[in-house]
Amino acid sequence: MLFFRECKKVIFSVTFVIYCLTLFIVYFSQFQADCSRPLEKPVPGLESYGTVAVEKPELLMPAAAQGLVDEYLSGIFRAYPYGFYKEVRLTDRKKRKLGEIIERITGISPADLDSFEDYESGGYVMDDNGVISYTEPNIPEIHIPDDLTYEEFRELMRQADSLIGGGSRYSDDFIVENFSLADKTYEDALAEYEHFLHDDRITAAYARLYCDYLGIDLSILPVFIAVYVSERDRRVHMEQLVYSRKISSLKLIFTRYAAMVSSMFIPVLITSILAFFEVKSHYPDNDLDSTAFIRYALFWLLPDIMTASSVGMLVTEISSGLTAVFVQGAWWFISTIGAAGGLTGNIGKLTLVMRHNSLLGYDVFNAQWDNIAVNRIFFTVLSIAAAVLTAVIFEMKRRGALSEAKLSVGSRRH
Amino acid sequence: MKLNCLLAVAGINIRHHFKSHFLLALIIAFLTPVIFGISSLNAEGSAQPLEMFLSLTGLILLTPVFYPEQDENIRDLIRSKRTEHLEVCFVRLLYSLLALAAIYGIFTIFMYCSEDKVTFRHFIGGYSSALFLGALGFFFAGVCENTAAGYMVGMIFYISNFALKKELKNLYLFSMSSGSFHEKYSLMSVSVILIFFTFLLLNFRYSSAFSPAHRNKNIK
Repeated sequence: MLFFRECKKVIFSVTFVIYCLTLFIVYFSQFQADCSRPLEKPVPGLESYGTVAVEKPELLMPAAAQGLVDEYLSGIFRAYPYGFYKEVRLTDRKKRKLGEIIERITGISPADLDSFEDYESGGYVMDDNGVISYTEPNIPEIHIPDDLTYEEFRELMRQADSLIGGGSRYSDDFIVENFSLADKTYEDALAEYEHFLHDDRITAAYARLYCDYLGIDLSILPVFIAVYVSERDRRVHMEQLVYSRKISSLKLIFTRYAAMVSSMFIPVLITSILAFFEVKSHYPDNDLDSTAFIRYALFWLLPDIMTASSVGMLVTEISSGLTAVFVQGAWWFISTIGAAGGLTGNIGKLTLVMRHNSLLGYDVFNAQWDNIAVNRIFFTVLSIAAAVLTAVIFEMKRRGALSEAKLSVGSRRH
Repeated sequence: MKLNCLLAVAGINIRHHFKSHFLLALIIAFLTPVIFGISSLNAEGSAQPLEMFLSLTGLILLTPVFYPEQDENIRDLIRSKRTEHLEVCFVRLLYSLLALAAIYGIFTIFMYCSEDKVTFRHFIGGYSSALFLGALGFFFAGVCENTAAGYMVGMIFYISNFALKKELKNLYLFSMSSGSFHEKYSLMSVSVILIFFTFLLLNFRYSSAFSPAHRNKNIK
């Protein structure tokens, strides 16, 4: 049967061996290392239960204004426009515009700012004994005008971010987590733990963490296998033989695609079962959700595999394997390393790599449920559409509609 | 005579097999200043674009050295020529290494003109990271006779550098960004070893594949 022959072709390839090895290494080094001990229930009376980013105007406005004045005086603005740190220096024109924004939010005129001579940058400093201490920056005193509404303040921050070039600490993506951190109380910490125990029934929280780790690799690795499988016929000169067969292009491409995706899902299935028993060993007396790992793997990870595979097949069919790797690599890079959001609950409607690197944050994850559903359905439909398009291009080549162009390229090459 | 022959081989290969890869490497180089700010950076900040992004050009340029011979017709044609197949691959490797050095050289000068604190050390350090990524791809592509596997291993290693700094120890690609240079000696040495072993293994494979004993065995 064609499906099993195609599966065999995938499973016995060196790229599949590397794929499996990588998944198992990620599983053992990342996920299993993170669940080596059970999550502890918070106890009352601790000095700190951590902080949580909550949008509170009374916290955010003075802190953000202070940050902006500090960076204005230092002349260097910190930004992460593509996920990497960038030090931005403004032109005189932009600096003048930013001065006007600062005047509106603090009441300090640009002339007063420019003539301020006692500026000292603050931050964390380590002394000779290795003791880390925090010093406040020395900047003019700030008073937020009474007639400034929160909405206007946020709009001005957006304008400041735009002047800096995007991805700054004042952007919508970063402003709350940078300037509006509130201390968690014991009750907050306990409520989170209760969600973990009863709503997630433990395994669902671990399943999210598992998908977070594996999703990073599963959004890129399938493209290499797809490239290998797609180029194989060309390499061993089986193209003409395959073209002459009775089977329809749609059936051939979809059988190949299904074989590829199914084969690549096998190690995911194995690791998800391993993960369930690993978690079960740490919580022997608790009520666990026994299908959580499989559910999450199917809903979260399968669309990743499908997308990277179909992009690999389509671009290889249109252009070449190298271009396919480059296209998927660029897309992966933008949505992981270059992503603006954090590691927890970073899920947009069109984010390829969904992130939720925490056992907690049930609320944060569920608040994005609409985005998550749209996201996964979108990528599933997109990958099927890409596979159909691959079949159409394959059929055109088969009928000779694209062979002229290819032949001319071929004759130039050799 | 031999030199002329090798130069001709280089010319033909650059024209037919190198252009697309070099173009992709240039796209990466042009994207680097867009993704990273590269004006007035300190020494560690200057290392970031060279190590964390431009190093991918090594993977793009060195991995496909054996790619043309993955087509069996080309492989048979190349082996029928007087110039040894591995000599052709060595020529391809040499011009790929030179192109990589040119990209790094020009980019470092560009950074220097942008008032960054870059020195010759940055050039060597960045080049070592790119060379190692490329050598890793080159090794796996050669040994597995599968360019996709080469890219795959190189990419996996690149990704792991964002999470496994401690585990990678002396093979950590981004060490200069955190102020350490001694890893570069290891990266450089291991790269040379990987390239050497690739040729050694392939030479052994081809010589045994084409030995009279092997041929007779196949005929039987």
